[in-house]
Amino acid sequence: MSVNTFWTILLIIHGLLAVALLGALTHQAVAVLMPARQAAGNFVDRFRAVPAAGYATAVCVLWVLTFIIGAWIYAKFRIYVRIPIEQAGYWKTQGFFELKEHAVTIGLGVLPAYWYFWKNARDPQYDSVRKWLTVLLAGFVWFGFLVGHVINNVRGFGS
Amino acid sequence: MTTTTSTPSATQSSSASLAASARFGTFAIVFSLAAPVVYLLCEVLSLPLFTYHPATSRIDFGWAKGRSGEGPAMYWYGWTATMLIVCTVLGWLATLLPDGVVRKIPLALIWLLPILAMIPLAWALYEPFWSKG
Repeated sequence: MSVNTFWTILLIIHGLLAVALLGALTHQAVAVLMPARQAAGNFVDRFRAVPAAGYATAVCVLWVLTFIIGAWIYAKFRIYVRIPIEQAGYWKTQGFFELKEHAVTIGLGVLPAYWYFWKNARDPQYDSVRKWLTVLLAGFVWFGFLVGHVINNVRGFGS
Repeated sequence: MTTTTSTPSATQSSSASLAASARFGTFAIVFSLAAPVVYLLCEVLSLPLFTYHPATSRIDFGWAKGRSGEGPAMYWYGWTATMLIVCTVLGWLATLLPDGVVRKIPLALIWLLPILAMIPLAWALYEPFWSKG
């Protein structure tokens, strides 16, 4: 396996984990913002009718795995992707990547409370913070996913 | 017809006991409250635990400038490590406090502080990135 293939596979795994995380957190965020009163109905009703509490551990595991693989790739990115991006003058794109790096790290930092609040979903004192923390994490993941996608379009591995 | 009874796995029961633990709750809340603040301070005050030089795979303790001819220096790994260690210590210290102390902290700060931290972090990117091109 060539070096390029190895890093490309890792990048694809990073992307697939991010897709799973995006799906789980989007389901959860919609479920807390628009709680369904009944499971049946149209696509949107079914989308928001998921048992949101069951996603919490999976979200934490996916976030940590996505983060670790992203951090692994990041060292290669710094040399083989960022330098050409800067040479090509894509400063704003790189700036958004830096902001993504901040968002996902802060997201990692709030995961313990996120997990605790969801595992105590029957405690009404956590209802509001659980809701907005979930929405915040979903926002961070969407932001990170879109920025990562654009960066890969600008210069993916092997390009 | 046979029926089966399911028993919760060891992982499920340890996860449930962790979730039911008030001490873990205190740890988790303080860790998560501190994370955006500590990360912001690490970035603004240049406080990485270590500096990684990806071109040479060299690691320096603390903040180190990129050396000429050895490629760029990376601080993000070091900021993340600092954040995780400091927040773990703060979370642990909080578990030693009397029960009611941490409960007085407004929980909304857990989602507000990350948003507030992103503002100076984004502003810090203006000069090196967004003002160009």
